Amino acid sequence: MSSVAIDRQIQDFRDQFQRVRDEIGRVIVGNEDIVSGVMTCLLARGHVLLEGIPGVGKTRLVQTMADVLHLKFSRIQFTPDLMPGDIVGTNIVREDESGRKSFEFQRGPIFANIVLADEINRATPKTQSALLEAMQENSVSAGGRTLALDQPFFVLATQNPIEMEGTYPLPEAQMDRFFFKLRLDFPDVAQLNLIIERTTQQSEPVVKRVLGLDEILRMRETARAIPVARPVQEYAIRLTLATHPESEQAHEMARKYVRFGSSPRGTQALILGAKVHALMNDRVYVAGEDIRAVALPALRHRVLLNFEAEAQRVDTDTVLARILESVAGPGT
Amino acid sequence: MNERDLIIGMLAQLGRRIWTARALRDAAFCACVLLFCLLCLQLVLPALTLSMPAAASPVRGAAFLAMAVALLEFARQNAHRISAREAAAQADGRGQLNDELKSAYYFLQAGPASPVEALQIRRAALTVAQLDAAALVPQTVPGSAWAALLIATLLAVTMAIAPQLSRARDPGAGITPVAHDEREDLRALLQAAPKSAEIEKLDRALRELQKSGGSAADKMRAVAEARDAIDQANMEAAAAREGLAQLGESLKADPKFEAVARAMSEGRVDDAQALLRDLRSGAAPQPQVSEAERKPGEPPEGAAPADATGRDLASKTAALNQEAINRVTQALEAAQERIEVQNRVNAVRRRMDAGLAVTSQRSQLTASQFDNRVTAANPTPAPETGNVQMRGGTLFRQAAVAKENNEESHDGSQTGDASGDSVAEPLEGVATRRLDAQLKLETILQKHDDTDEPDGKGDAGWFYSPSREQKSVLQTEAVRARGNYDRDVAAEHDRVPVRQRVAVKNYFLNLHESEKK
Repeated sequence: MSSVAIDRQIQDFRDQFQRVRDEIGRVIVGNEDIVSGVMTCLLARGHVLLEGIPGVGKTRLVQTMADVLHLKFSRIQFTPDLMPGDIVGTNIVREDESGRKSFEFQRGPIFANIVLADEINRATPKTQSALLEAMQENSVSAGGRTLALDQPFFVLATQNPIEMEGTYPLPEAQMDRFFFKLRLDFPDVAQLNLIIERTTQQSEPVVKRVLGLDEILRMRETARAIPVARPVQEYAIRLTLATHPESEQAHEMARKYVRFGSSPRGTQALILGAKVHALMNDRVYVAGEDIRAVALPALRHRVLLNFEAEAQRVDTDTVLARILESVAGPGT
Repeated sequence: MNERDLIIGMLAQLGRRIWTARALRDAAFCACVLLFCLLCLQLVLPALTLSMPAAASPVRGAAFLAMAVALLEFARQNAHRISAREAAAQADGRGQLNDELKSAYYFLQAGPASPVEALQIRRAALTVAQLDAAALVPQTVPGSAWAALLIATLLAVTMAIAPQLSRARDPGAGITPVAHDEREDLRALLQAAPKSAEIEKLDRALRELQKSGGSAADKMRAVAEARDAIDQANMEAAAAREGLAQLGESLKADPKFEAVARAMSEGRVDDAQALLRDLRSGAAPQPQVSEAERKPGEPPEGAAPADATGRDLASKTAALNQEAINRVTQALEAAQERIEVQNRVNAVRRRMDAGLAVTSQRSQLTASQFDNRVTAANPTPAPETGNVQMRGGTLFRQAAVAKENNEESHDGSQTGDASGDSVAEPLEGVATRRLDAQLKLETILQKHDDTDEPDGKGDAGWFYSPSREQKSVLQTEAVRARGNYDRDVAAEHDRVPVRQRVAVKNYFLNLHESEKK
């Protein structure tokens, strides 16, 4: 492929990315970094966990994204009585015209390109596992058959951090399946004003579809093609190792407050997310800045704090910020 | 020139510039360290040599070792050149290139494996073409070079004023701050003075002080000798004045010598000599006693005791003795010489004191040694009031016991016995009941309160007594309030009922002498 073609491909990537952001921005006020994070997950073939208090627009964001992307969308509202079959589908008995009965697999809502798993922590672990297995394997096993999920398969799960009663918090191993964990903060005054103006009029803004399935798949390929120099890759590894309290390269904060450090999936997420971030910034290589930009959403749910951190009210973002400050940049 | 050569060439150029800049910076820093060590040596070593001579050599050795270490570290730091990878990292950092050169150099080293890597190399080459190596790595004089220059200036100044500094530190040097020509003047003052042992001693001391290469101990000894000579001359002069006064008293008996005696007693030696010359011219001439005719063991001229001369004159007041006049004259001349020696010596002393003013005020005594408060005796309290006059104020003692009226045993004293004991006045207050009786009564009352009424009604003997229902409610409330009660009222460990505690408190508040058991 010629360099001109690559240049055009990269330019297309940026344009399409920007179009999606602009279109979503017509409905979602603020949260540009959240939109970018969700898009990064989509293009890096990952899934995203959205966390925020009720009413900050988690579900709205996902619905808008599904509208903007020309993809099949389904929503699953997780409740304690939700069963795995309600997600992946179930075998039903069907009788044909000759009176012969046979099992037929009825596909569940997971057979979609974009799946919104709303309030995922309200379902039982059994149901959660069904979803998380599908996320990891990109396939569903039902009735003795394995069915591949359509690509792109993108799960956006939401959870509420303040209502913990009657919920089943996701186990750490299952949290690791999510590429990014994004936090939606409460909007400020200006954003609130804008939200009120947009949502209390006679007509609400309507988005149009700007990205199709093929474009998304092409963008995924472009993102994967971005090279990473060894010093930058080593930088991402050093960051990951710095979160491990037992590692020689562990940061002082990690030794004090971290129970378990990030998994190798965290390093993968760092690199893949950094690739998308580099493309968004018109770079055809991954820089240390790209790694730093995606470090918090990629690692915050993969670093488990110990009791001392909870007692001293030290959160994961604080630990990661200190690690990012102290670990030397690539090649230095 | 292809992209690879462009990038590698730029990185090599940047590496050279970075190495040069680093070497300059390190050299300036090393110079700072070396000069600082020398400055410290220049400042500290003379004082250390004087106070702790044994420590001077190790300190000098440590300073030279530090300088050697700094030089070696400088050589080690700058021994290797800057690699292209380091140069790329530095250029990325300085030019805020977001790891562009670093990545491009890595892709170049590994060989571009994909079109995207080749594109990255091409973009990096474009960036390199726009880079200005001089702007990216400027070769300016580092800040530490100015610091080194400043320290060097300080060192030069210190070396220039080092002799003065060392003289100021030298305890022997502080006592001869007078200039050389001034010392010459001092000795000239002494040369014009009459010959005496004190003058010679003082002259020797001044000559010793005049020596430039003398040690501190020698100078101290010379100063001590000079002071000794000055004190001796003052004592001799005082003795001569006293002799003159005694001579004057002796001469007062003769009316002809009255004026001479008055002049001598007032210390006007010149007037006395003039009067004596007048008297001698009016009296018969007497042959002078020569040195050869003087008997052995007889004191020399002028050395005769002045009071003996006076007694001799008084015994011969009937006739004017020429010889006696001569002896008085000689005594006066001898005294005149002593006084002249004293004047000269004191002039020298004053000049020396003026020159020593700066250093002689320095005392080895600490501030507290100037004060004699430590030795002051403890002030004695006044017998009546007990007040104590203390330095800086008066301690007013308040009487510990109220004044007792109509007590003859303590008449004259308002402060009680000397031992501090005093008979207390009878307390005023209501009479209290015995404590044990009160406590028993409280116990009885409490038992009475706890009895249940079997018929569910209140006690008829009381104006009000709660029914069983009311009591159950009250008891429930009491149990419910027990937590508050425990916390608020009986929080202490003893859990004593309030009423008993009140009784005990009142008992001791109203304690009466008669209640003692």
